[in-house]
Amino acid sequence: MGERDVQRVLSMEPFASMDPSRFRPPITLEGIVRNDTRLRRLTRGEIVVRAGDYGNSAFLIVQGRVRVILPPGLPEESLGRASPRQKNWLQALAQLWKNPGHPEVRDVSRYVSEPEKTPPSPARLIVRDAQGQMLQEQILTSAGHEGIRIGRGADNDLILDDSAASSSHARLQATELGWEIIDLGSSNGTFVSGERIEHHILGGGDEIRIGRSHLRFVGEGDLDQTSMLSTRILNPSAVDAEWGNTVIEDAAQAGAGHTFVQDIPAVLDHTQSAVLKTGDVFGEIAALGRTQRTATVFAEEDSILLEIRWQGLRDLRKRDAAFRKHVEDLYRANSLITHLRATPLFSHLPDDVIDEIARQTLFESFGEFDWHTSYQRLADQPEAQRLKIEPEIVRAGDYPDGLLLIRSGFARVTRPLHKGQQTINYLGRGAAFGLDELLAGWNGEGQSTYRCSLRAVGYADILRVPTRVIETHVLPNLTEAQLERARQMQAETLKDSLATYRPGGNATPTNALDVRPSGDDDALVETLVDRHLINGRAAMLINLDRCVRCDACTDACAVGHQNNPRFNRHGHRHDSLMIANACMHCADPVCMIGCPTGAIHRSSEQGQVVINDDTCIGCATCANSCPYDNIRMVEIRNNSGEFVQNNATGSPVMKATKCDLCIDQPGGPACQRACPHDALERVDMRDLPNLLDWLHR
Amino acid sequence: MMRFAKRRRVNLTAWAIVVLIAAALFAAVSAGLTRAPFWTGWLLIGTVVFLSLYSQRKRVSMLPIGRAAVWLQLHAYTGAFAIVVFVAHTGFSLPDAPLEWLLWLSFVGTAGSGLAGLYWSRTLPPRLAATDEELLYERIPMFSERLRRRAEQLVIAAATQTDSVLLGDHYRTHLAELFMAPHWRWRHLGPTHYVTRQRDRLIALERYLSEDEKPFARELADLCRQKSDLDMHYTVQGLLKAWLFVHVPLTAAMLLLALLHLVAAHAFGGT
Repeated sequence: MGERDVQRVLSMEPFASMDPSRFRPPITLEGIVRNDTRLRRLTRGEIVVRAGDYGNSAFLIVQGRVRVILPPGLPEESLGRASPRQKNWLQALAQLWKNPGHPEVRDVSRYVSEPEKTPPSPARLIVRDAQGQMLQEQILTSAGHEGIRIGRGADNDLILDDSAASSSHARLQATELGWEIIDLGSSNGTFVSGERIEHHILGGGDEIRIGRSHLRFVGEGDLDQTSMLSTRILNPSAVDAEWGNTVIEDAAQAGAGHTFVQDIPAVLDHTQSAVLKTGDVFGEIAALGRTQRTATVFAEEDSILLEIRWQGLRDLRKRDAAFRKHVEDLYRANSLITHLRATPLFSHLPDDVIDEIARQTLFESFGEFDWHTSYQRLADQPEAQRLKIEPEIVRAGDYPDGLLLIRSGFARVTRPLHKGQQTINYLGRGAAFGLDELLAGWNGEGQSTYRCSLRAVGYADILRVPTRVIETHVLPNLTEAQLERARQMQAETLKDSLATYRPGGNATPTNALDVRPSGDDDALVETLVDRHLINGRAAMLINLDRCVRCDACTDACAVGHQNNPRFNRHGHRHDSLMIANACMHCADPVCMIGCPTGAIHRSSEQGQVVINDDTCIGCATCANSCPYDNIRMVEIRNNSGEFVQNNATGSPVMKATKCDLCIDQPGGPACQRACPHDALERVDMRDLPNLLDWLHR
Repeated sequence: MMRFAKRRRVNLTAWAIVVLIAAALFAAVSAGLTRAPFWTGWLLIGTVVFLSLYSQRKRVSMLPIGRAAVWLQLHAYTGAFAIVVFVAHTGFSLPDAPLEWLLWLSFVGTAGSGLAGLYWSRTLPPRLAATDEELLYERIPMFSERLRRRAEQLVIAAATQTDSVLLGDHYRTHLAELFMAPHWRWRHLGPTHYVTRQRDRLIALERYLSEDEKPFARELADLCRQKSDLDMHYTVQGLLKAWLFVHVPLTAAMLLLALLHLVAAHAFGGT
């Protein structure tokens, strides 16, 4: 952001009320605004966030108005997503002879018209003199290759009565990117928003200065006519451009696709919605918790939004008490009570007690939110080094000061073993830790301490319900049956742990931590946690002791995807277990962060992470974010087998591809069904007993 | 999730029951006036047709008609049942006509290759998994060529840096053929003595090498091990693919011959 915009943002609420002295170098308040925020101009109807997207930023409405579509929200198709329809048997069988002979063939006619063929919308140019008096207005159309010539000379299309303007000063040219102003070598130069330019794509509200004349560019594009699934370049919009020329889309998004709500009145008629106006903030809970957006938000009129990425939000929350309270109050009001009610220990409690627990609950974050960026470096570290890096949430032997509920992320449970730490379990969202110790303390069974350590793997957001609250409000109100259930709660958590796992047998939670390590499985669990493979909800595991390398899995995958296998029968190995390079449909799908069009999304049906090929713009953000290298970028071909090229740049058109768990096939994942030797299984890595059972068949 | 051992017990029990029922029916039919070979023949051709469906199942993997693993179990146990029926049908006697000989041989060949394939499918994969690298069969020639180049560069480097030709001579005499190409070696299906012998030779050679040459010899020994692993993958993966090139065509030939046999039996076999 430019200096002027930074200062303007700092003068706005909530930044104006923040005490800069609370922000110590190198993280200053001004630095946060400069580095972790950006201004985004949105045109009427443009979708800001979609329900179901993974949040990684919040928004402050600087100017304009947005609409929040309340549940059940808009249909998936309106959001630029299109879950493929499941084929029937005949259609599935027809793939045998209908699949194309070339790899990565697409029916390019499905894609909307090429953006470069779309002329920019008509626009207006309002000319004022140095005193601001309107002199004339010119309607701009895209007709003619010469463009619209501006200057003092009589042969210009727009003649300026201005001695400081050159006779042929500048030209306005219609391009696929919008209206471009080109300086024709004038003596005094052409200025846009105060900066001298040689050529510049104009945005709505841009102020052009030629000589002493001021020209204001006003776009008049009828955005409602834009196809909802189009991937066209944004045309300028008519926002009041008091803001500097740093009001931009993200560099990755400049020229990228945007999705629009087409018929706004109809949407407002058929859905429930709420209005957010200038000064309102939205999206912070999803951004800070990296949870899915719960609602779709679109610009009801041309607007300017300040997008604050999660790193900035985190720093603001850490250093500004009011902002922290604002975020926590929001979470308490909207999500925490639901979370507590879903926790078995609290499910029977009356509303006022739940409210009290919610008031007392502490929020804590551990680890790196963007763990995927340092994934490879950490995975290659020696184990001891890795454990040092992983933030310790609680340490074995510490006083149990609360019940820990995992709100998001993952944590590993370790216990001291000789000179090191043995991983005996891993916990994900919704799991609880420490209840056993709290119960022991409450029952007067001596001084109770945590028996295991808990460490954040990557990152973990924790809700800490203080011991005092549990002892005051929860344990005394438990009936014997509920108390027994509570006693078993920790055992339930440990049920899934390696410490209690017995092949083919029932778990024995009692004294679970007293068992000796079980050899090979220990090393496997350590590997799964170290490599963050516990993130997988449908990881492709191959038992190499049974796999005859027949490639039936690959062939079956190819048949279901137009002869393009969507995985590699290759990947990380641990002994005779291979975790193949196939999308794991993660619990924490970091690939979805930053997709500019929302093309990669979680299916609303069974939660598969899928890519909508129609709205994928080939930016590779998802492929770069996936720490497991399970997304491949491919060059697409047309039905004749020719590579499809971008007409403007001549470069091949790329698409992101990955396993979609055969979402459109009648029988589910073909790889698993096609393996004749029971060597391949799609496994939810959070279900450790099932995983070990499969391995020990 | 049912364990393999339990599944095997269940399947074997079911198979034994089916065989006993078939044997009882066979005995009943034999005791009557009806000619048993007609019944066993029809039963046999039915089971063989069912067995051949398995390869068709593999082609239509997109249809939800049961997991291939379940089909393979059915295929294996039905195949074993077909052997029993075949014995009952032929009555432990050898054929006495050219067509019957061809049919007999095709059945025995199909059953034999199937049993061998099943045995190899269950016993050989752990051998592949025991190596450090997971290799794609189609890429083995490329990896082999890469190893050969590395070995030759190593020997040349040893000769130029140590001014000695001993390692080079050893390579030319004993190792050049090993690194020449991927080798199909039956010995890889048994204990792999070959690579041990090559490494032993290099270790034995070390006593004649200077201190400067020894690191080269050790790296060469490691390349020998890698090449041996490569050849083992080439052999084992090749065998796991190749047996089907015997089993499937023999099945097709057997079905064709069985059809001819059926027509001949009904045309000339009387009632």
